Amino acid sequence: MSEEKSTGSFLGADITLDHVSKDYGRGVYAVNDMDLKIEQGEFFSLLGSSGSGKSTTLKMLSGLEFPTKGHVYLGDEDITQVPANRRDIHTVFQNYALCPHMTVWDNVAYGPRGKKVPKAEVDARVNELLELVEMSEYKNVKPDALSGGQQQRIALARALVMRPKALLLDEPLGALDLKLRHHMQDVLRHIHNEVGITFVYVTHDQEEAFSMSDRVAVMDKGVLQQVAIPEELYAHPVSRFVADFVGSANIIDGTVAAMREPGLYEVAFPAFGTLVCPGVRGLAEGDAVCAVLRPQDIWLHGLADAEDKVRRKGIVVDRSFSGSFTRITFDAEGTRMTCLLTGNGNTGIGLTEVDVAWLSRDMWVVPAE
Amino acid sequence: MQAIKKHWVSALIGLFVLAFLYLPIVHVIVNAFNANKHMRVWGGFTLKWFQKTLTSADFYDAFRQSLTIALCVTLLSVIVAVTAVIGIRSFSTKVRNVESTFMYIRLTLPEVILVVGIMIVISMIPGASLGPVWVVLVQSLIYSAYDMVIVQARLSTIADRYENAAYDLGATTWRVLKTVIFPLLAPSIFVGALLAFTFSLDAVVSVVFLGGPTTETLPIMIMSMIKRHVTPEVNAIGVIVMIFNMVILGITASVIGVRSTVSAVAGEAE
Repeated sequence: MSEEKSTGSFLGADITLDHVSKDYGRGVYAVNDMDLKIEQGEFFSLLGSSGSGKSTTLKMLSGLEFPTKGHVYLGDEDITQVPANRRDIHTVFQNYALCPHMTVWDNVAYGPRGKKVPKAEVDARVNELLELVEMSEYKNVKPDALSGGQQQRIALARALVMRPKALLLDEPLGALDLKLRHHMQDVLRHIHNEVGITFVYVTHDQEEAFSMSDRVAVMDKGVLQQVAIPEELYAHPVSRFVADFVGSANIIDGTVAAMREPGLYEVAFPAFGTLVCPGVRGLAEGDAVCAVLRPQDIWLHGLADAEDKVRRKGIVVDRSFSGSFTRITFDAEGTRMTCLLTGNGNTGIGLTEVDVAWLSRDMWVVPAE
Repeated sequence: MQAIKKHWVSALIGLFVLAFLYLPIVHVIVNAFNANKHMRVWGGFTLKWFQKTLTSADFYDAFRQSLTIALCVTLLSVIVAVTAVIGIRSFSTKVRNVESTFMYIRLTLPEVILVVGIMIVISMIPGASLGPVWVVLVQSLIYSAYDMVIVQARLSTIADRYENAAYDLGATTWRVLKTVIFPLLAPSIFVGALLAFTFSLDAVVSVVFLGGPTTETLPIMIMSMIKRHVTPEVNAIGVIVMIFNMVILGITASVIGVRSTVSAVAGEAE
C-alpha cells in the first residue's frame, strides 16, 4: 500500500491516532483510547453502528472536533490541535453540503480560491477534477439541479481539488439507492486508484466496507474492536460482537473442554457434543465460548465425507428467496440456524426434515462475553 | 383544494374571515374615490381627497418622518439581529438560553409596558428629552426580536452543514461568513428588514409615548385627523400607504424571489 501511486499532484500521508479519547463530559466517551495507524494510500474503513464513535473519530481527523486525550499525527506532523481550515485533510460530507448559491464550478473552486492559488492554476485544477469525476458539462449548474449521485461527485471533486494528504468520507453513499450506491462504490474505488492518497471511509454498511477497503476497523461504543483486512475480519473475528456485526452468522454456545494447541480447541457444545474447532488464541479450559459458523458453510446435500464432518438432522422452519440465493432457517438439536443455498439447490425443499452437515474446522471459536 | 371543497363548513368560515379582513379595505379604497364626504352612499367619482392630501405639507412632513424613522429602525434592527444571532453561537448553552428568553420577552411583552418603562427611565436621565431618536432606538430594540427569530431559524438549518464544509475546505472564519453564511442568510435578512420596516411604519404606541411634541408620523397624523371628525382624506392616505407597501413587497419578491420570501418568513430550510 505504501507504494507511490500518485501522478505527482497528489501525495498521501499516514494518519496515526495515538491513544485518542473524546470525552463529552460526565464520563461519557464518544471515543475511548483509540490507537490506530492508517497507512499512506490505504483505503481504510471505520465500520460501526450509530453511536459507535466512528463519526466522532472522523471529526477529530478533520479538525471539527478535538480529542480530550491523545494525539493525532498526519505523517510526522502533530495535528491534534490544528483547526479544520489548516489541515491537509478534507471531507466529503454525508449530505454533500454543496453551497446552493454557487455553481458547480464555484463550489469546486471554493477551496483553492481561499488559499490564494493563482487563477490559472485554480482553473486547471477545477477542470482536472471535474473531468476525473466526469462532471465537466455541469460546471455552470447549481447543485440543486443535480441528482444525489452527481452531487456526490461534485463533493468529491471539491474536496480533492485541495490536494489533501488524506480524504475523509462520512457515509457518502448513505442517501443513494442501492443501484446507484454500487455504481458510486466503483467510482470511489477508481478515484482512489487515480489519486492514490489515503481514504478514510465511515460507514455502517458491512458489505460496503468490505468491498471497498484495504482494511476495516470495527468500532463499538467508542472502542476499537478489531482492525484487519476484510477476509480476516470475516473469517477470524476476535469477538462475538464483531462476528455478528460483519455478515450473518450462526452463533453456537459452548465451553472449552481442552486446548489441543494454541488456537485449536476441543469445545463441548450442549447441542452438538464435543468438536475440535479453531478459534482466537488465549482461551483456557472451562471458558464459556461461542462458535461462529457462517451460513454458507452449512450444506444441505452432498458434503463429501471428511474426518471433521458434523452431520445432524434439521427441521426446515423458513425459506426466503432473494434472487441469487435462498436463505433456509432450520432447527437442529434445538438450535435455530440458517444456511444459504445458491442456484437451483433449493428446489424441492419444503418445510421438512433435512440432513445438514458442516465441517468443524469451519467453525471459529470466540469468547462468549 | 379537494379537501376544502368537501369541508364546506371550514370553507365558509374561511370565506367569512377573508371578508371580515378585506371588506374594510375595500371600503377604504372605494371611499377614497367617493365624492360624498359622509361615506354612506356613493356620491360620484372624485380625486379631490388625493389632491388635498398630496398638496398638504403636513402629509409630506409626516410621511417623511415616518420613512426616516422606519429606515433607521430597519437598518439598526437588522444589524442588531444578525450580529446577535451569529455572535450568540460562540456562547455556552446556558447563555444562549438566557438570551433566547430575553428575545421572547421582547416578543411577548406588551409594547406599551416596555415603552412606558423606558419613558420613565428617560425622564430620570438629566438633560435627556423625548424625541425621534428614542423612537428609533426603542423600535429597533423591539423589532429586532422578530428579525432574530427569522434569521435564527434560517441559520440553524444552514449552520453546521455548509459552514463546516467551507471551514473544512480551508476557509477562514471571516471568509465563511462572507461567502457562505451571509449569502445563505440574505433572504431571511431581507424579510426581517421588511418586517421591521412595515412594523415601524405602522407604530403608534412607541411614537406617542417617546416621540415628544415634535414627532408626528403618518399614523399619529391620521389619529389626530380622526379625533376631530372622520374625513375622507384618511382613505386617500390609506390608499397611498397601501400602494407604497405593495411596491416595497414587490421589490422584495423580485429581489429574492416569491418562494424565498414565503419560506424565509416561515423559517423553512429551502
